[in-house]
Amino acid sequence: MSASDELIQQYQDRTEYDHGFVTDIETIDVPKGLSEETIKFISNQKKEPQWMLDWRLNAFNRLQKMKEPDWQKPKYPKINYQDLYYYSAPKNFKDGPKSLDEIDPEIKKTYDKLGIPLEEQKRLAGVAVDAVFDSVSVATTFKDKLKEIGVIFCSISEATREHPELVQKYLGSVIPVTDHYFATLNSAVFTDGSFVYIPPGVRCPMELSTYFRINAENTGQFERTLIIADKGSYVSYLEGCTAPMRDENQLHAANVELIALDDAEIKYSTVQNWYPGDKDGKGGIYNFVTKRGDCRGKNSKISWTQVETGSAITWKYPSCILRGDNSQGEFYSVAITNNCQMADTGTKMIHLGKNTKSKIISKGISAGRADNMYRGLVSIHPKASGSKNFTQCDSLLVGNKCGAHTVPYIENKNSSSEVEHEATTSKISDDQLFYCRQRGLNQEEAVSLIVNGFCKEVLQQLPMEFAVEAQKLVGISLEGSVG
Amino acid sequence: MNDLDKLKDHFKGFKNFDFISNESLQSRTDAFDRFCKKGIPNLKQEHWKYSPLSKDLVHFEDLKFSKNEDKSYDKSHLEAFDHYPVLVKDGFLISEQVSEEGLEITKYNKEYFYEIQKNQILDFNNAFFMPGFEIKIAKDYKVKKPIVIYNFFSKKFEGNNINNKSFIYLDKNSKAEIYEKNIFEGEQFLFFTKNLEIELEENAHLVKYYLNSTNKNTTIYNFIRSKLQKSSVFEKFNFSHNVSSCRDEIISDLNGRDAFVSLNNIQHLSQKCFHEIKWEINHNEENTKSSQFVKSALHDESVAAFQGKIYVNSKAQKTDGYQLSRALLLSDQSKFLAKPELEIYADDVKCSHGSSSGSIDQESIFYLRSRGISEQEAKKMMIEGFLAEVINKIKNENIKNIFYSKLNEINQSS
Repeated sequence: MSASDELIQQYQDRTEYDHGFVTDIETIDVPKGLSEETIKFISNQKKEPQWMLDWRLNAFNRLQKMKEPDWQKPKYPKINYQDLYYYSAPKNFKDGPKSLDEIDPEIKKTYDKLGIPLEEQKRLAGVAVDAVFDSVSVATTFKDKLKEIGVIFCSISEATREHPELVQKYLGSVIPVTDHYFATLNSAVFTDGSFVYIPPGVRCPMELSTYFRINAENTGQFERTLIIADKGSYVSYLEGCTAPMRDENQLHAANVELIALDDAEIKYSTVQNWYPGDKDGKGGIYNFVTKRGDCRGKNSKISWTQVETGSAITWKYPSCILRGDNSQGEFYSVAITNNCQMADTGTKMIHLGKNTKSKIISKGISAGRADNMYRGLVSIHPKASGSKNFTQCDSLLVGNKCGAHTVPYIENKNSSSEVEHEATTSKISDDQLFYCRQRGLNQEEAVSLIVNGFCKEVLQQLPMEFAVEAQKLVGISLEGSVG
Repeated sequence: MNDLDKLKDHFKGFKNFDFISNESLQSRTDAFDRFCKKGIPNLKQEHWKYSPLSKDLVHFEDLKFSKNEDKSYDKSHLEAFDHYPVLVKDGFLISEQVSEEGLEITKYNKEYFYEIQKNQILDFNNAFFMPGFEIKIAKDYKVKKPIVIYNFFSKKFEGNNINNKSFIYLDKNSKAEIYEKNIFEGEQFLFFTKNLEIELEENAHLVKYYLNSTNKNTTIYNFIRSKLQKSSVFEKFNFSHNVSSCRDEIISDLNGRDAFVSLNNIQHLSQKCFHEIKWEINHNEENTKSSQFVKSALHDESVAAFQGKIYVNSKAQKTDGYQLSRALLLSDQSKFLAKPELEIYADDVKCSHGSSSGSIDQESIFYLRSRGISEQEAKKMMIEGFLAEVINKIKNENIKNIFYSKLNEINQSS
């Protein structure tokens, strides 16, 4: 067995899914199926105003006329939308928790296992958590402190009730109801998610964070996140996902909308570690997420950072619409696929304003029988003079049964703009391994070092709180071979 | 669908032409049925995403088929250097057949059909083709002088659609150079599809040059499928200028160890020219190598599109795939669209691609101007230098000169 064969074997034997436990609590469920009744039920449960219900029904009507897309590379068995539950909330939380003490100990334990800083002492870490347990916001910490400076950080259903003017103005303004199939599905049945509003000139003093967890079986998670950074403000938002082990595939179709007005900056970081399915590709999450940011104001900036290690299928393209002059978009991504996982991810940078800039750094690591794909679009419109784009996509292959693909679309329609794109595909070379081992590292440490170096450009972009977890995750993903 | 109904009538009439053999009739009918089933290319089909063919330039219902019996041609278009001429007029081979030593040039009679799922224009070609040429080079034979293919399009041609099929075969250890150019005598609308199949046996070496230009109203679809066996080499140099709308599609299969394919293209476009390149290289065996190199200089409202794909199958370890596309946008209305694609299933490979587009480097212009060169002159020098990188790779002096003089000619006039 050669060194690389051994490596592949080790990689494939990576440890069992650490977060694969099921929290045993009662839930109330709506009857299965996608229908007007379900939507009305959700809306009623959330005590939503009439306009919100109308908005949902509008999306539902639109959905009837749409077809599920089929152009993507990862194919999946047909999803029976009538067989899914669209709402499930922990029963004993019907009225919502009032303080941290009220939280179901089972749920608390779950979060503890994941290491979420939900408890009081974790405040010192400077993280406010809007934890979403299945579909209802369980607890929101730091709310008061944020309130002082005017930051609104709450669940989207609360925002619908308490800040309807903001929600009505911005919801669906980046991802319209008439967008693609899964976005429209989300618009119709979304259950919960986070809402953030940063008032003009405010620099949010802490990293805001949400943990998503899918718990009840057969529940599609339809999160909706809306972040608005008003003029001259700044916010950094973290999103982390872990899900327990299940045999059946679960659908996760979230929508995330970011809006940056003049001189505002939004940094959105994701660490995604949904259950990827077992070695034979059984089970796992379908992560079909629509994320889109709109640099609506001048000099605004939106930055996406993602570390994708989980999910059976990851299919998402966090995008930036660079509408304001001098606005900037960034996309940093690490996608690790192993066993039968598939990822089709990338970004879209739509340059509309003058002197807009975008940067794309994508790192794909593929092992086992996995398929990893970068698909992206850089489009410079005729009026976007003086714009610039730089794209770099690198792929690393471990083993000869996996695949790495790059499909960038580049459209330059302005002569004063520059677009650069480069991509490489390689493997961990024996030379590199030899060099490291010669210096006393064992095989695992050596591979870990090389892979970490490969991803470094992206991991660096993560906020401190997340960087540690992300590195841990990369470690877990490569455990047995990479340490 | 009405469009196709009319075309179906045309097909019934087309079947009566004398060049259609009974054997091919069924295959043609099948191909035509496939075309009807897939429909006319449109922008929503990924295969035709950036294609001028999906832009409604060709009205399939108005196509007229015809055969030109007149075999005369203007001899002044023949190249001065010593060569074997292959004359194709309005889709038919009109020159004398050549049969000497190891070289054979005959009328196309291979009658070989195949289908590519997403490509309905190929089906269209297979249904309506007229016989072009067949060039066969025997084992160990190195063709002494270049073969030059002239595609004449006469003023008097009564139809507006020409489809032809040709075949090039190089046996083991053989070598040939082929130069091809288009000569348009009239300005009428023409839809021309060309389907060329190339087979290279072990250690064969083919170099193909193509000077691609059309009249203002023509739409061209060039399709080449090449199959390379062990250690064979296929080099291609294209120079596209004044092509009103054109799609160049090449599929190259590297089926043997050490096979090498090198595709090079210059797009020097002005006015409303639209030139699209779609290349697909399939590395099917170990140790194969490919290179794709595209340079575009775009004036006025011209559009250039480049879609290059490197596919590496899991057997093809030690693949070396390289791809580079660079474009100069010289006016506010010009556009460059690119989709450089990698699809890789083997781990021990070296594949990379790069793509860039932008305007002329102002610092270089400043440098030249500070040395007393006018801005216009400086720009021309920059464009020439930019495109010459491809031409410099050409080894045949005669053809290199032709390409250079063409480049100068365009540069002077623009």
